[in-house]
Amino acid sequence: MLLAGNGPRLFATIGVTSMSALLSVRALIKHFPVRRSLWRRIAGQVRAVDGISFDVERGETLGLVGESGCGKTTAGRCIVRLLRPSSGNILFGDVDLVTLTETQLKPFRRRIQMIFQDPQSSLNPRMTVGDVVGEPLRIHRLATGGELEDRVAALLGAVGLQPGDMRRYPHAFSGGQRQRIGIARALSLDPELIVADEPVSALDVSVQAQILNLLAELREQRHFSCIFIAHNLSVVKHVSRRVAVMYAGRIVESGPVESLYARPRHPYTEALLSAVPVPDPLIQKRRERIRLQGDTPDPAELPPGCAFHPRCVYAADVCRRETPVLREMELGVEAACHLTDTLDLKGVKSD
Amino acid sequence: MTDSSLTFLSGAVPLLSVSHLTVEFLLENRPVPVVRDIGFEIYPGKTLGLVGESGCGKSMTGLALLRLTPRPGRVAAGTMIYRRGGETVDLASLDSSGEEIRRIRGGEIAMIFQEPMSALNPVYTIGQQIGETIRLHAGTGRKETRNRAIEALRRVGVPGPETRVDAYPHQLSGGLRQRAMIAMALSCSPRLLIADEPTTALDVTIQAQIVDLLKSLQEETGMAILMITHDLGVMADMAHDIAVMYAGQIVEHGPPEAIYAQPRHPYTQGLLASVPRLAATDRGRLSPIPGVVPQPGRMPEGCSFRPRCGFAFDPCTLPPPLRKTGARHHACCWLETAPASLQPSV
Repeated sequence: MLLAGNGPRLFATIGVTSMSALLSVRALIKHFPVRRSLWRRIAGQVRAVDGISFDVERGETLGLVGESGCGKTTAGRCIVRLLRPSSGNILFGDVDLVTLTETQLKPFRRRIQMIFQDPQSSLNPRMTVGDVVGEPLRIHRLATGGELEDRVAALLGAVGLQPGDMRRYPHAFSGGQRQRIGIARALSLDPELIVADEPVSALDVSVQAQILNLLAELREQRHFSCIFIAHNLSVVKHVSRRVAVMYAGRIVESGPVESLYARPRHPYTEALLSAVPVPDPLIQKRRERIRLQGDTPDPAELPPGCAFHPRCVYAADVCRRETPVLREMELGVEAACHLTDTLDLKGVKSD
Repeated sequence: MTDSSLTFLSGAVPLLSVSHLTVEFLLENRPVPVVRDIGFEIYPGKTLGLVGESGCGKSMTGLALLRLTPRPGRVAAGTMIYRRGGETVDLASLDSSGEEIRRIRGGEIAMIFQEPMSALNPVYTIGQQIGETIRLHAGTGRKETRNRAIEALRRVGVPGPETRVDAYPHQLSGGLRQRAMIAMALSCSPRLLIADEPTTALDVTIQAQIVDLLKSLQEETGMAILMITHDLGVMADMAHDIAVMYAGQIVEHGPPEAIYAQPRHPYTQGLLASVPRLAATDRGRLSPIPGVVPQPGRMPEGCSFRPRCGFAFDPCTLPPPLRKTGARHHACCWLETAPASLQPSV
């Protein structure tokens, strides 16, 4: 596997580099220039994604978790190449997507699709549902006429909609149904990888459960891999086998779901777990909870040392000076925290 | 529902007693009810939680209390008795744009919304917007208003309130915007705060901060809160009483301990089963409620939940009565009168 010579330990990889990886992201960086003044001079950099590496294996779902502004969406958009990364490698099979031109990318666009958070703004209100779902097939010249219609009807059926919905417009559907339309569109090209960016966070709990079940079902039938981006750890637990936690543009912890939830290795993961409300007043009112103060840092002015230290209850001097790197704690578990060996962080006991 | 006025706590005098409240929209000259004959009471210093999916009439109930029902909707029936000192006011009988309700609105009863970005005016600073409420209800001068606005921001935990008071909404993060909106709502020390999905658009970490803030402000001021949310986790943290709404009606109500441990209505059971749990061991399927909330005006005959209910049987074609199922615990379901063999397992 070609690993670009970017100082391999500076950006540790998640888990063991596996030969069956469908996608390998290495040292991915996306900086946005901040332009100020009349002459639009570059005044600084927003370090949205600041050197992340991970693998997604065939058929696997990787959860990418963090608060708004941590760079998880930017990372997702780089992978589907809606954004051009500043540097790093996105290896899809043997090909580095970062180096490809738009024309060279086209065949890969078929194989990687995205589901968006807001089904309201991601569907064109002037297109019928049939056009929305069938558009990828038309663009890639995979079907026309009656065949196109049949395939769209089959896709709508697969996501629990009626073939007759084809002629209606997105506004006639509820939020959950609109998300189903977005899923049908993403599935239309039979992709190998789907990047799902907060696909259920805008939905009611009951509908959220419907969509999560639908995604699980489709994954079993169609065997696609998935990067599931979300801020709610309980949702992520239901869909992923491995989870990577992002903070301020970097991965601060990653590992298999079971160990990460039971025994977090980074104080940020602990705080995120603690913040998820438990739907049981007896537990919820008694629970000892860690409250994160303040907001995520401004990615244009990251604090020195560990970016999490201003909000970390355990922060020591070293955290203010030195940036921690990801270290392997045990097989497949990595954390970027100076103090992790001395901390006994609280996880969630399973029922 | 015959008598829908519910008494949650005996002894205390409710701040607000709602009974038989019905809100209708006139669509093509046909009245379409979105809130149907509901009743509840809100007590000083306590939080009543209103739970249900989008489209259940939760927000419409909140707006009706402030007489802010958007056109062509109107409060069609019912009373909303608001107690202030020795006197009582029926909010339902007030002119919705009259002097009296405008004094109450924002001053005695305040409301916060889900999306602070759309509830705040983008062209005014945070300070100007908080100041407007203060000036309107307290009649203070410019300097005093500004100081009070800064104080209001400090109270809700906005860091650097002296500078943030001059910030525009877009310059603040989602969490800070929500805090600013709470500051605005609390600037005139309301006796009742209607919080409509105040944490839904926020990250879990910020959500926890806002819930803590609301709880500590309630302890400090003794205000009552009507908390509207579909998030049963947030509700478990805050509510002293819970009313579950479905299709414009209250289908179950009671203390949270009973609602969560022994939900009686299949809808409540369905909502609880839908929530993904952190402590779940198997990554298996969730149990969602099939289908969607019926559209107002296209309500099924009898029990509105019947088409989505796994326990529906013959009696459900008639509207079910609200029955007492335990201490302060009521449910509106025919299963309460059915033989034990048909009872849903909890």
